[in-house]
Amino acid sequence: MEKDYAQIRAEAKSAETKAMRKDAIKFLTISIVVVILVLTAWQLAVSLGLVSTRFFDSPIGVVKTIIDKFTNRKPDGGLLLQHIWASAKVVWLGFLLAAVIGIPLGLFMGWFRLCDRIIRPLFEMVRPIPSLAWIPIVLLFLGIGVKARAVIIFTGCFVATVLNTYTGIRSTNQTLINVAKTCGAGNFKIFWKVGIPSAMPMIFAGLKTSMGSAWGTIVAAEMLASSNGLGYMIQMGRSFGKVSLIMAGIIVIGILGFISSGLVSLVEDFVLKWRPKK
Amino acid sequence: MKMKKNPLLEDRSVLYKAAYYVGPYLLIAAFLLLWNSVASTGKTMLPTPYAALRRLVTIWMGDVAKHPMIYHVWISMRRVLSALVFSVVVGVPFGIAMGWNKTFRAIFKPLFEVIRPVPPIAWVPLFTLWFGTGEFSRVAIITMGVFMPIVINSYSGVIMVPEINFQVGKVFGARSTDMLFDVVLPSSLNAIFAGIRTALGGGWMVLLASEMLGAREGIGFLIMQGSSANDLTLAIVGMVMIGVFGALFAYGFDYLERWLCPWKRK
Repeated sequence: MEKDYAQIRAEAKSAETKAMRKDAIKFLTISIVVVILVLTAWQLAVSLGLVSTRFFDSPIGVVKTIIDKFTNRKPDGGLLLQHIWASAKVVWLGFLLAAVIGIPLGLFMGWFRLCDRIIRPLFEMVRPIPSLAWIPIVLLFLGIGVKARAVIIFTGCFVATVLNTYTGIRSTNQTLINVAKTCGAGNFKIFWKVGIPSAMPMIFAGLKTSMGSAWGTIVAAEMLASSNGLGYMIQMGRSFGKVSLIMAGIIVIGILGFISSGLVSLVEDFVLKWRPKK
Repeated sequence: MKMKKNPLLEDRSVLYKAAYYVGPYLLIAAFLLLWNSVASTGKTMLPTPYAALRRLVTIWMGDVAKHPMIYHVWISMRRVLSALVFSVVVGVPFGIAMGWNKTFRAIFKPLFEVIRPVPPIAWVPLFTLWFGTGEFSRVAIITMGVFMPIVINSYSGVIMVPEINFQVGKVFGARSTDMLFDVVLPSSLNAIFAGIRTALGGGWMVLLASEMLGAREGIGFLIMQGSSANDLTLAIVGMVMIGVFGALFAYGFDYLERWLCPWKRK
């Protein structure tokens, strides 16, 4: 009946994994139960009239509004898909513009000291200005069309992208650089083959951040100066006193933001195939 | 007089050194010149840099929208500060609890993950519907924008404490409370401060948005006022003010962090 050392270790390990799995299931059930409880409480509160429908709408009501909005033009004169397209179009345009300009700029600023030194003061001056503050100027030069809104999104995404890219390439592992130097690579080659790939994770983190802030900016910009888009739809919900529209808009924005981040993650996984899975 | 040699400039050509010293100022000057030339064509409403500066000086103590500029700045700062203080006082313990206690996390994390992707500004119509257009709903909206990053970062800070710190704590015989205060908190302070810094940046944005959407004082309101009255100088002055004060806040906070975390000084 003597178990040898390896056997005892194996049994302990399997017991530990089983315990961890039981724990995981326990916590997952708690989470699910809580979510269901909250939704039920919310639904009941509205159905039983505990909260005035002026201030609240039930989950079912919100889902109904979303489905209805696919085909109903009232009260703001547009379909849900139109709003989604208007907002998403501008978000992606501004986001991509910021990526195309910001990533190279961040890379160059991070690698070449002279670049950093020359551009840095101007960048630091522009950096603290929130993107919404650019609205009057953009309004002046570009009106209220798609281009104008894309530029506003651009100002919001640009700073985050550049900063993350800069940090990413600055934190390149010195050992890797040394190896490249030993192989006889010149400065630019090291930049291209070592610096840029190793900065990729941070770059994508920055892209995800800027995607989040892009959605925030577009909602605000649309509330202020637009005639379509999700922010406008929410604002119209407020003007007409339709809480369901407001809540529906909020939820749709949340879902879209989530999907957009997911898309960026997908691209990241594709580009960074060489990364070991954590 | 002996000048310290800049190690970055060894073995560089004269051209490089010239660009190094003069370059940044040249770029800023070029920017200002561009601004000036566009403004001077008179075809747009853009004010020249000098005009904007002059306007700033006149309204600083003077009157604009019934109050001196400094009052508007103060109002805006007060809003951000109140939201920030509330979020830190409530959010940091909340985030730490979420990271420390698995049951707490199971209960509250799903709710967070649902609310997180919603941009804070989307809450404006809802809050104005619920709480009216007064000061409370404005600060509440800013709080929504500031609370999230603080909680999430505090939570990450606790989660990312290296296992070895816990093991050392156990070796020294730490009980649960000791573990929390002496091991978890100092390690997570870094992430907590990063969260507050992020929240600061975002907070100014939300402040601006909520002021632009319906306030009668504050910098955001001034920007909107200037824009709608075709008084672009005022709008630009407001923009610059926000930029300057945002930067001041960020620097101030950096100093605060370095003071509170002496082990971070390099």
